[in-house]
Amino acid sequence: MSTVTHELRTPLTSIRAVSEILLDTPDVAPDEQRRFLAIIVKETERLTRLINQTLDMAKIESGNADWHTSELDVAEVVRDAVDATAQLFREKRVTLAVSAARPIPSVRADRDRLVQVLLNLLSNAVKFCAPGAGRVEVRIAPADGAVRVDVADNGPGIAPGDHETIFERFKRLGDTPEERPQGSGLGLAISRRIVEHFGGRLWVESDVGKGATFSFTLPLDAPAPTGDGEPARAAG
Amino acid sequence: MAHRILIVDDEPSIVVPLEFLMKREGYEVEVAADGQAALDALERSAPDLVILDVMLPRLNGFDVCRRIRDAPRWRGLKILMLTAKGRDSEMQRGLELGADAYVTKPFSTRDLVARIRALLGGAA
Repeated sequence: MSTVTHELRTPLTSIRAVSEILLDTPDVAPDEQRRFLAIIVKETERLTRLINQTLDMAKIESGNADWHTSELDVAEVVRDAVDATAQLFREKRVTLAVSAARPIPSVRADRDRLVQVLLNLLSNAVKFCAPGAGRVEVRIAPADGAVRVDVADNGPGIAPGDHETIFERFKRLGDTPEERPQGSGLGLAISRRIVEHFGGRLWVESDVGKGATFSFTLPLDAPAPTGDGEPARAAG
Repeated sequence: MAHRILIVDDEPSIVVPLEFLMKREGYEVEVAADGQAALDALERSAPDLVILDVMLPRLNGFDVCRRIRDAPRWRGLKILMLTAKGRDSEMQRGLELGADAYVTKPFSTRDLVARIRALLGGAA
């Protein structure tokens, strides 16, 4: 809770300071005014994202999230997520390759939640890739009673000691201050809980200088997620 | 001569208004984005006051505060600590380490300006 408070105070501080300056300073130059207003907009977005994700996390953890489980073709869901992030990849000139083994058995999961996980992994991958030289590969394959999805990047990599830390709330390793507004620090924590809800696992394999591969599995015959929202692994 | 202020914070969205505010009040301003950069900046120039955030990369604000107070050559340098942590224990710790003032985020810009003016003895 104190971490959430800290994360909320930072954008609030910025918005308050900039607004008061605009109110109290009679002769702010027009381009300076625009710069300040842009800060207010950006920090408001950051605050909104943070509030939404904090509520989302609380909902999942308290078992009050709505899950709309259906039969899913993972490759098709991946395609949707890839389309949604295409612009990010184009802007940073990071290449994105998708490969899927055929045939892929379908899994039972919540489509929107699965898209949410994929968007998080893809946007993280592109964020840490070098502009112009980055490469991200998404692989979908059957694996031991499950469908496995890998999102592999050739970014700076993550030291083994940090592999679990990054799934903790508000633990950000590589974000520069310029990038920070994009990340609430909750994405991976939420993604892991979503995957676990459907009986799967989400983990990372990586080392410094060797890129990172985030992988998750969704079991083919997942036990029906319990109504009270407990992660399905608890039912196994 | 205008007083010099060193702003130490790693959030550009907070540094921008702070810098504007201090310049508007007639101070000369320098910025450092982490604790180590703050100490480096202190070696280069001799500010009269440091606005010091607590949560900083590399070296946190408490450590920077302690280092400043341990160095006789920086005697007289005013330290205003700025933090998003509103807990009293944090404030106590900052003041024990020798900070002259402790302001929690979000702050009132008028209040901040008034406190800095008071610390610097009135004139800009």
